[in-house]
Amino acid sequence: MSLELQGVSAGYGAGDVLHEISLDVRPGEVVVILGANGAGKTTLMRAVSGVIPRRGRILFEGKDISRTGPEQIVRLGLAQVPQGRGTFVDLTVEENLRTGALSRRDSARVNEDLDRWYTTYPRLAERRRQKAGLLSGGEQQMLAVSRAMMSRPRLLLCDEPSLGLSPRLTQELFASLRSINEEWDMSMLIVEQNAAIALGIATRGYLLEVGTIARAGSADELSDSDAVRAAYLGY
Amino acid sequence: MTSAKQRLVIVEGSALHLGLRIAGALAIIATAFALPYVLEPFRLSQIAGACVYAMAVVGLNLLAGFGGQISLGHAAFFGLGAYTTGVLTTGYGVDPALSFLVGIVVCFAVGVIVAFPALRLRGIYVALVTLAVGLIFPTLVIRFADLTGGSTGLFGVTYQPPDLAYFSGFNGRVYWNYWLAVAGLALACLVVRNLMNGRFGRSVIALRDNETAAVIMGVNRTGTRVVVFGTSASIAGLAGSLFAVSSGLLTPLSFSLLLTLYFLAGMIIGGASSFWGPVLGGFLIYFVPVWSAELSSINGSQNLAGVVFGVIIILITFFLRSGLAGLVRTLLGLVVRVEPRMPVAVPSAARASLSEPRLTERHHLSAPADDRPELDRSGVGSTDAARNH
Amino acid sequence: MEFELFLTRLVQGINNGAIYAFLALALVCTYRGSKALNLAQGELAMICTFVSWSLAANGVPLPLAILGGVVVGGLSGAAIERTLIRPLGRDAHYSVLLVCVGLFLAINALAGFIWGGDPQSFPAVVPDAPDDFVPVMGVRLRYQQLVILVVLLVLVAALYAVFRYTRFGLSMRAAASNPDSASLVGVRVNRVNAWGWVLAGAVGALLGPLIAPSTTLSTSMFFTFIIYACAAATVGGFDSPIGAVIGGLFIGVTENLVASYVGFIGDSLKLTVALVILLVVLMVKPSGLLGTREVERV
Ligand SMILES: Nc1ncnc2c1ncn2[C@@H]1O[C@H](COP(=O)(O)OP(=O)(O)OP(=O)(O)O)[C@@H](O)[C@H]1O
Ligand SMILES: [Mg+2]
Repeated sequence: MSLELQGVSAGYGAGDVLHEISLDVRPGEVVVILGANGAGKTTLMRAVSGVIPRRGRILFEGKDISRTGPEQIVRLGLAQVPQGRGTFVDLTVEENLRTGALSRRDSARVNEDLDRWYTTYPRLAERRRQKAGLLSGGEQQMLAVSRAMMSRPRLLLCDEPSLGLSPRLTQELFASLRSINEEWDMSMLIVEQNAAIALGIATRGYLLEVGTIARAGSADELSDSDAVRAAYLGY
Repeated sequence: MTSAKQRLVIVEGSALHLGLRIAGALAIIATAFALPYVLEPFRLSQIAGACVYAMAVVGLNLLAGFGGQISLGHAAFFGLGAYTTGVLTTGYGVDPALSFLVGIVVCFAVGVIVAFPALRLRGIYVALVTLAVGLIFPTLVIRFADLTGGSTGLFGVTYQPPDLAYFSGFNGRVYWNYWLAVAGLALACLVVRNLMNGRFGRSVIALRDNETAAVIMGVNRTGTRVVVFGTSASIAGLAGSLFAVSSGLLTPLSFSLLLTLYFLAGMIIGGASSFWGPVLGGFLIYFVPVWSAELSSINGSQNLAGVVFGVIIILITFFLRSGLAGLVRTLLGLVVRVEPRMPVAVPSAARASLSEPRLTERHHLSAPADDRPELDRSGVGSTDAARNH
Repeated sequence: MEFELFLTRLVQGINNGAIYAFLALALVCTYRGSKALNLAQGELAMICTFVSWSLAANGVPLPLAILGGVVVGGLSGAAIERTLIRPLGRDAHYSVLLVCVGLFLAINALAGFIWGGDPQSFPAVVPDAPDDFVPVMGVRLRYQQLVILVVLLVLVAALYAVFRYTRFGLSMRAAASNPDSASLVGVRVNRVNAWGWVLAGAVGALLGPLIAPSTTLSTSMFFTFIIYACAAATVGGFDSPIGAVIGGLFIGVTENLVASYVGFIGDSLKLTVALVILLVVLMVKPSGLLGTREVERV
């Protein structure tokens, strides 16, 4: 199992936002999490990557990380693309990418990886010396994905990668996520509002409603489910 | 926690509640009248000095406690009032009472002018604006020495006592300065209390606790902040005027950054956002250095007061965010409980809303972005204790 | 003759400006990470200078004594961050400022308590007799002042290089720019911020012994410098080390020239010139010359 949550609860002090969540991601799988605004999707991602305190068991590749801090978790091989991209706006594009490799020891191969992502996203290469805050939203999203990938994770968490992107850019981005998944055999847990496109590349999915898992199933089952269709697919 | 049954329960607005409050007020007034008869004159003038400091702290508390805007320049307003009175009375023969009024107006105006740049800024930058203003003041005093006496100081500021038998004795002047200071402090407390116990006060608290929400709810941000700044400055200014007539000697060094820091210390130790805490704090910043100098003759012992204040400020920031006032309130809350007149079923969320400014005192030290409920909880007791004034 | 006088005043301005810049550099180090304006920075530097003085007075060679003070400064910085600043959390401007006010009062009084209120003379690191200067175009560049300037430039160059070209520097800049993202890429944000305080404490402790021979060593030696440093950091931008140096030199030179050539201002309003510059910058461009603009929330 790549990631396994057993009865995880978390919140922001005032009260729990997540109630006893259990889910799993198998090696090489793309799992999508659907849910309305405020359902707790971002909170779930933060709980997994250790940004907020949480209870319950979180196993990453069998190791309990529910008491581990975010700096350590990324060193274990679990990277996150945060909602809203989390760009270092006053660092250059290249420096942003290099921060992704701060958790790595093998500095020699960092440059190789840099080139790899510049090839995947040539627009980043053109702007490598620019301040990242000057990039467009789509470019910043590519930057955020590449930055997370610079740590060579084995599991990638993506929080609403399509936020603010045009339908075409969204298509492109998911296509590249899929190829990353296939080429690197990397597991992914993706939060997404655009259910159609996300279920397109996912193997399985969970439906989150006010902090609990309301439904789970394969991508096809979820696409066929009336609840998901009515709320997220719109047909 | 003691259960409600074991506590004395007082219903707000009942005869008992009213009676206790009147008794408290009478006790304070009686003490004020008794002190001149029981204290030696030099002690009495120390009390007057402490009242003047307390006034300045009460003024600062309006801005920094209730308003949530830290000021590192309040000594300047204090000094501006002092020098207005000093210059007008010694240089131009103006009646001191009139000079007090001029001082109040001048300080209000300068406060408003400073409020405007501070309005647009946040965080440390507000502090920097007030810091700069506060430090410019002494340099101006030195520069315009022909008017102010410069570094040597301005001598002979006095206020002749009125022609009453009470003030005609050997210590008449001490009595007069004492009563001026007591009246000034009472006035300052009343002004702050009246401002804060109404619609205006709710706007001030709302702006401090959540500026964005307050503006959306229709609070006039500019107007409110400007009036708070101006009033706070003029209270400090009047305190300065009274300081001038009671001390008789003004030097620019008396109004340095250190004095501002002492005012801040007084506010925090006494209890920011409380009505009587700053009075207590003002007395402490006056008397602790006096005592520590009197009690021990070791060289440098007056420094101990500074160490103590510094450490206490830090401790209070961490553990007792409502200061001594909050501590007393918590302790009282263990034995006495003041209940609202009709404990009708108001949803707790609605009760904690802005409709009841006294409840929000728990958040007193929070600047807008600094809302940390977990620490606030440790400082003050439960809401019923918070109601007990 | 006119020109020589101008040069002398310019050099004076640069000398003062270097001191402002030095202390501003320390302010920047703490502000970048913790977003804290450490008002007590000058007092911390002062008490470390007393430590160096005590060491030197007890027979420790001067360079070692200064190093001792610098170490104490760095450790105190770390201790303050760990125990008094970090627990308050991010964005707690108000509380952090209060803690710094408390530190200011406590450290100042503590030094007075330990070492007494009388100013002490402090030995100079380089010969500092009246004729120890390099004459350049009729202007006297005193050794001691040259030392301050050189140390300042070396320091800022080193800081710049560390920030720009090392992994540690990148971590620091990432943590300052976006702490949440930084911890997600593996930066230990708290530890990095603590290093900012260590640097600040050490920088201040290095400045003290360099200026003490001319200012004399006393508990009030940093009272005005900390104000100038605030002005310098504001002009340059509170999170920019190079900005701090430019801001410090700019303020030092401007106040000196204005005081010399504008009769109305004179020496007594020098500080006022700096404070007016501070106010103008706050009103026109709060982020300063080189600082990053903070995102306004309202
Ligand atoms: N920092 C925070 N402090 C307090 N409450 C928060 C915080 N962040 C989120 N919440 C609350 O937690 C709940 C879940 O928020 P979360 O961000 O996880 O939702 P989401 O499913 O990601 O929504 P969206 O699709 O809009 O991103 C919301 O009710 C929100 O108000
Ligand atoms: Mg979200």
